[in-house]
Amino acid sequence: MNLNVKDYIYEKLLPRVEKPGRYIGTEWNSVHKDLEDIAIRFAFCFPDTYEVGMSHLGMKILYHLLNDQKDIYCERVFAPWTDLENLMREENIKLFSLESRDYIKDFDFVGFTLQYEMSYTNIINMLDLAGIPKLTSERGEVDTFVVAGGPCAYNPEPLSDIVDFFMLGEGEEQMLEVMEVYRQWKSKNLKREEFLRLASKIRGVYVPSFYDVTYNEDNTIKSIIPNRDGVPEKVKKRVIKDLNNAYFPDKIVVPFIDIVHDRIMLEIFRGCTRGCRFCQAGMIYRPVRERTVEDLLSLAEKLVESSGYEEISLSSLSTGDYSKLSELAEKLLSKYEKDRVGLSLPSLRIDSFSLKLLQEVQKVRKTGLTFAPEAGSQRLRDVINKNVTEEDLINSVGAAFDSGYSNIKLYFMIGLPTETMEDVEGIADLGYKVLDRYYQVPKGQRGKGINVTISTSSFVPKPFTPFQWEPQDTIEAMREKQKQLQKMLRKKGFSYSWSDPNLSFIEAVFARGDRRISKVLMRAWELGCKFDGWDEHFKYETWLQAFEDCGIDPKFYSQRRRELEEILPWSHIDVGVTKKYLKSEYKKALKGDTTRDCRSVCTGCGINLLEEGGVCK
Amino acid sequence: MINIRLKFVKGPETKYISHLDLVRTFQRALRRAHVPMVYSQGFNPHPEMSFASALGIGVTSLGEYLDIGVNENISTEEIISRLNNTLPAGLQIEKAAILKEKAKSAMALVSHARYTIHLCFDNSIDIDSSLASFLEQDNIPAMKEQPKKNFQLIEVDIRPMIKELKLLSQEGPKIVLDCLLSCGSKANLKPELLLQALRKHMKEIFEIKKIERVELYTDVTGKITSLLLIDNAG
Repeated sequence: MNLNVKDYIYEKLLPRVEKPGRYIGTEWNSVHKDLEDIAIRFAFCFPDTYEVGMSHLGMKILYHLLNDQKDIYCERVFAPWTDLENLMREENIKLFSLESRDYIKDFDFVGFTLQYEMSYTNIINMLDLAGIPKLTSERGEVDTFVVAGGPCAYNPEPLSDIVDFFMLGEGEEQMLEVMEVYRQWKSKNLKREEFLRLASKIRGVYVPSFYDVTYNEDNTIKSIIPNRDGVPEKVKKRVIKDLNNAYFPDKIVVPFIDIVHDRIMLEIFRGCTRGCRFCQAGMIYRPVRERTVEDLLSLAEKLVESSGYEEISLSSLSTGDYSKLSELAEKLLSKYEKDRVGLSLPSLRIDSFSLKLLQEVQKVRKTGLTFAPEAGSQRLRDVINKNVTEEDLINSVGAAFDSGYSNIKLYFMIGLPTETMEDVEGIADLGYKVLDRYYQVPKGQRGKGINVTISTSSFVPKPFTPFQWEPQDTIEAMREKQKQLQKMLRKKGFSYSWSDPNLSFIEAVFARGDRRISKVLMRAWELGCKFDGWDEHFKYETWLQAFEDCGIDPKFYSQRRRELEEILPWSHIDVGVTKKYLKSEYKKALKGDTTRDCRSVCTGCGINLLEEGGVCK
Repeated sequence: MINIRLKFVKGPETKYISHLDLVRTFQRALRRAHVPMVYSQGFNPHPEMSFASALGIGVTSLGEYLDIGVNENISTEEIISRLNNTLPAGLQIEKAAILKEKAKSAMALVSHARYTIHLCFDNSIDIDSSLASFLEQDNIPAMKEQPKKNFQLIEVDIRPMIKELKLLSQEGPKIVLDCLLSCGSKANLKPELLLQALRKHMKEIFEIKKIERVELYTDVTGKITSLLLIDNAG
């Protein structure tokens, strides 16, 4: 690439955008390599802004994992904000990587991480900006390979026209195996398809074009079958057996500009044993694997030293479940007190123990605490297996109010399976009970300015959860429930916020869509959809237009109750948790039976059969 | 507490970094360098550091200043070498000086800034006479944005804030100017505003190729002096 183009981007385009700091690429610990020694160039793409993407732990891990390989140069790419995109299109500048500012269309791999369904149009937009053919069928021998991974890749089908291959599950080992296959393939000068064939033999790799899908007359799936020999019938996700021996970088890129999570993220464990039935993360990230306290202390030391960050955040799906949380917190606190490195504990279930811990940790009183009862009635909390009682909640907020907190956030979902208006009203009732508990604290002793924020998101049924067969609420039903809550929560001390039902509806379509809706994505992008997760960019009417243009009914995917025996679009993917277990959980849910936390006794989800010898303790 | 004044370069790699981002970047570099910083008292302790003057986005500098407070003796050579190992590309410490007790902060001292400005006109022009007539004016009105008042424009006379303005070199339409402008809390003139007024006066179109701050000064009874030489204990 012409050196002048790189300078042109830097000197002429960046001064004209709102936040040029997003595109600098020379942050501390960013990796810059001499191209002479490089055999493989990998563009790690996050289909959202720099501030969102740089807060993502998986990217930090894989960026350094790849760059620790001498002959691989991994660079970062984020979705340019619309101001830069417009300039790039006006001046015919292609999408470039941050580090070298080279065009990514010339790289060996362009890899996307899929964190959220509503970022899919950004993937198409980025490929278009890059000048890479958008459809896998249009890519030829000279083109880059487009690969994707991340939680949404467990239902890869909606992106099957666009992505050449997927990597399912944890990437630390799989990624390097794919790179090794690529080295060998490249040295032998073989055809493009031959690489995909070789890669498909690596466990976790899924090549959509190697599978044929047929449909029944009612539009449900009839079969998903490999269309060539040697391709696995079921693609199994990858799992790192021992997290303590897994790769974790000892340095992380320290951004210049403020990002969403601007701190060290210390991953204390993966997986979750709680078994909430709506939660996809709780199912797909199994099994639970903890890092030891020693391992974490040593990691923390390296990361503090190399980054200069002033805060460590303990990262996991449910921090309070880490078996040695107080030991870890105390050791980190005492070790870093004099260096003034703070500790934060997100995803903490608040009880009296954790509240005490939180107060020790937060030298500066943070005014807000967040609780997630998820549903308004005990009946519905049992349905979703959120094993929290009203008493638990009142005790916890009570303890918080007693110690001076006056800002409480409560998260709920509306539209959960079996929900009635009574359950919805239970959300407001619970809010009032929380408020009452605040007023029980004598006036002189309680924090000033009570604010109970109640947020409701709309339930989106996700693959590989016990609710994968359930219909989503209609948009009208979601609105009605939101209106009822708006009415009931009109009182001093409450604030109520809710999510856009239109957005949840489209999200539900792509969460459980099949490969036929790939063309809807393309159409929506053609009609101008991008950054759909951003309020100011989401164009609902345009999305409906895209479905209509493609002759596809979105309600078929979001609002239809699926038969338990129906072949689901992701039934050729194996995440370890078995269909048998999900079915049994679904049936229990409908009866309101709970399932205990499997840390104490195995509940037979099947994850321990995924690997030989098992990975669960 | 021992106060140390650092003079640093802000190069092209960091010219798009805002002042707030620069503060954070230095805090983290100081931590990586294990500089024994003094922390402020109060609910939200932060390391004692203050910059002489915020630099505009897109402007590079050869002469920025930062005062830090440390609680242990540390030599200036040591600080320079440690920090230069932990600062990202585009930031480099050039000099350091240990200050006398109760020294005034760089922020309180700064009164003037020198810039070199690279312009490119559409045609070859007679810049000398333009500059002369520009400076001959008794008043030079310019419309200044007020960030604290919703960026409302207010008319100001910038003539008193131009201490020097001269041609450094010319190659046809390419002009390099050197100027010394008021900088600091009493009076502050950004080079962009000067150029706006110059453009209006000359009625010529030019492109700003580069603006670089060269040095920051303080006014010692009428004598313009480098910030590094003030209250220097060594």
